[in-house]
Amino acid sequence: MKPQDTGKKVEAGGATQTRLLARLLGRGVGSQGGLSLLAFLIVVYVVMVALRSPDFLSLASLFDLIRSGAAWTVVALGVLVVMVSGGIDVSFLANAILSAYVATVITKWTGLDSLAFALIVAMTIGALVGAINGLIISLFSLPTLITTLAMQGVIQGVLMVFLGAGPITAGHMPKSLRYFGTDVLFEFPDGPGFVGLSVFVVPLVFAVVATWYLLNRTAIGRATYAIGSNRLAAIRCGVNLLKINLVIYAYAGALAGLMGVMMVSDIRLVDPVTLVGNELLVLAAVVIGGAKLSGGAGSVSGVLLGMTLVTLLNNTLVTIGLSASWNKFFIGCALVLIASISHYRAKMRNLRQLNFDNI
Amino acid sequence: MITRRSVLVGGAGMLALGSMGRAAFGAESGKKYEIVMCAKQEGISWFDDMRKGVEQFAADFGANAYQIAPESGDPAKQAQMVESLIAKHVDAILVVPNDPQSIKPILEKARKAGIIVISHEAQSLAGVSNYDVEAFKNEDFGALMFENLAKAMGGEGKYAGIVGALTMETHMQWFKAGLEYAKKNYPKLEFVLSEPLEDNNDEKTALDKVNETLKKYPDLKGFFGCSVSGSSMAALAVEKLRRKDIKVVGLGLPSINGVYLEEGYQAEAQCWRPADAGYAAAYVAYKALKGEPIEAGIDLKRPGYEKVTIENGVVYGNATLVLTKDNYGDYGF
Repeated sequence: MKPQDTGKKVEAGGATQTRLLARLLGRGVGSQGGLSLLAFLIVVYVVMVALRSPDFLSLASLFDLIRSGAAWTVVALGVLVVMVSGGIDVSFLANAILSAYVATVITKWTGLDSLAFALIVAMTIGALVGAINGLIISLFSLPTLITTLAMQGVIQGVLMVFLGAGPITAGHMPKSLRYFGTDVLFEFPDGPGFVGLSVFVVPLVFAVVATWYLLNRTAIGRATYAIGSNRLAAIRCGVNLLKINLVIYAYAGALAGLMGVMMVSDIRLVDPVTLVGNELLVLAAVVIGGAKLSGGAGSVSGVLLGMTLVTLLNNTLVTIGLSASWNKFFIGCALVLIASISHYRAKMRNLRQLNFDNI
Repeated sequence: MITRRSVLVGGAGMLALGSMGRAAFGAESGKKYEIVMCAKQEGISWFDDMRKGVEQFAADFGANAYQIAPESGDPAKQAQMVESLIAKHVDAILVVPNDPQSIKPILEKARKAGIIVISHEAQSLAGVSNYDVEAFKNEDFGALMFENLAKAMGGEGKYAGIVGALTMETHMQWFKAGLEYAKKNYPKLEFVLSEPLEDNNDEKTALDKVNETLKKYPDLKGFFGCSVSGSSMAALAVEKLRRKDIKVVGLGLPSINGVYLEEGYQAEAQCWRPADAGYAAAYVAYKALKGEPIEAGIDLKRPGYEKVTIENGVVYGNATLVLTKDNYGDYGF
């Protein structure tokens, strides 16, 4: 790093140091304000949809949203952890489908038709691929975007060239994976069909709790916020960059593996060409939820709200009678609105505190 | 670059003359025609089945007919493979293009070199290739889809459906022809949407859209899918909701939709047999090489191609394959 860059922080007096410490200790600065705005937007949208289609306000709709958004939310939580550290991961969906594909093949091959086994295999592979990301990024101090973009290519190459992966169709999927996507925790009759809460809620809750704990209750979590807020200061404070990067990228990879199995079970098709290409949608949801591309900010509740909004937009267009193109329009608008407002708030707060860093 | 290319074309032209002489001579002395199918992609069951048809043709007619394809569905790689077939100067090239527009100039080059070119699944190439061979007319395929939907629904009730995208010409031809057919023949059927849903050939999108539609219209009795992802995900959505009273039909493959046909979540799937299309395309090329007439009513010796029609350089069969619970197991694609 450049000397003058460090100088600015280091020579600062007591007030700056306290602030620095506060930032190092984390919490998305002022993210609470952004989140209440997001919650407000969600409520407004739900009311709008309900006005057009009163049936929408039902337990069935809520359960559908959970089933549809669960897998995306799981992978978004991994993306959040990486983003808090100031990195950006675009290999997570390629990683997800690789992990799910290999897990399906191994489950079939060994004849161990058990969901737990498939999940362990997928999360292990995901974590290994993630760890490789973390290792490369730390050892060569490479930009995370370039590294993970390259990794995305490598993973797809491995799938196509070395594994020669053709799609595995419903009839050839292990039974445990086939029914993971249709099983429900509980159900009750509703009109001609029934309403049921998908078992996807279990991995979803697991990922939410684990990520919250990792970010808020462990030294690794604090170090992750610290690296994202000020990488150099964090290193000076004794944060082991290699160790943290290994853990967070492996963690994001493991969640990607979990998400991959959920996704292939949901659509009952293991096709190497699915998933990849939707990375920006997930990144958008995480950013809408208050995470900063520059790192140091972001929360689990933000991701939950961001994903709720994106899933809502995705799953209500038919209900309100709009074509699919509106989806992109709405997500784009929400992104611009929320990014502008949160940046503006940060700017105002900095001005009040006589901090002219990022104006 | 230009010089080199013109030299190549010139060279190929000379080779063409030479080989035409050989071909004429060879035909008398029983020389085997080299007829090569360049398919879209290696390693997928659809084209594995097509290969069977091409090889069957080779066995039936004593021709040197075989199939090649790029490992991935890469249009550039496919174009390269056709180029090398021109350089090798085979007698006929059959092609299922990944991208009809980008392969067009190369097919023109092949024609100039005196090679017979037959395309499949590319009506826009009719006129560039000697003939384009299609399993059916899109209008007939769409009408049949809606006929089967109406029958499965018992001739009345509300229905909805999904296409790959509103800009996909083939899907929209099926949809429009089918909708018109249903309006005329089944007035009690009601299409509840203003236009079909779109899945962009993505399963997750299809599943979510179908699910939302089934929830919004709980009295829906039928659903059609013009894409494989659309029809299979409609069947899966019906399974997830345990609503076997909703009848699903549409484009489908034995390997993907078979499980839903078997378990009764899909009433009927329709497609065409790749092996037969490959066989028919090879036969058209063979007839052209032999100088036999290619006209309406000729028999290409495959089910559905016994009496083809020809319009503007497109050879149409009537070879729609309707898959049901009882017959999907007979096919391996």
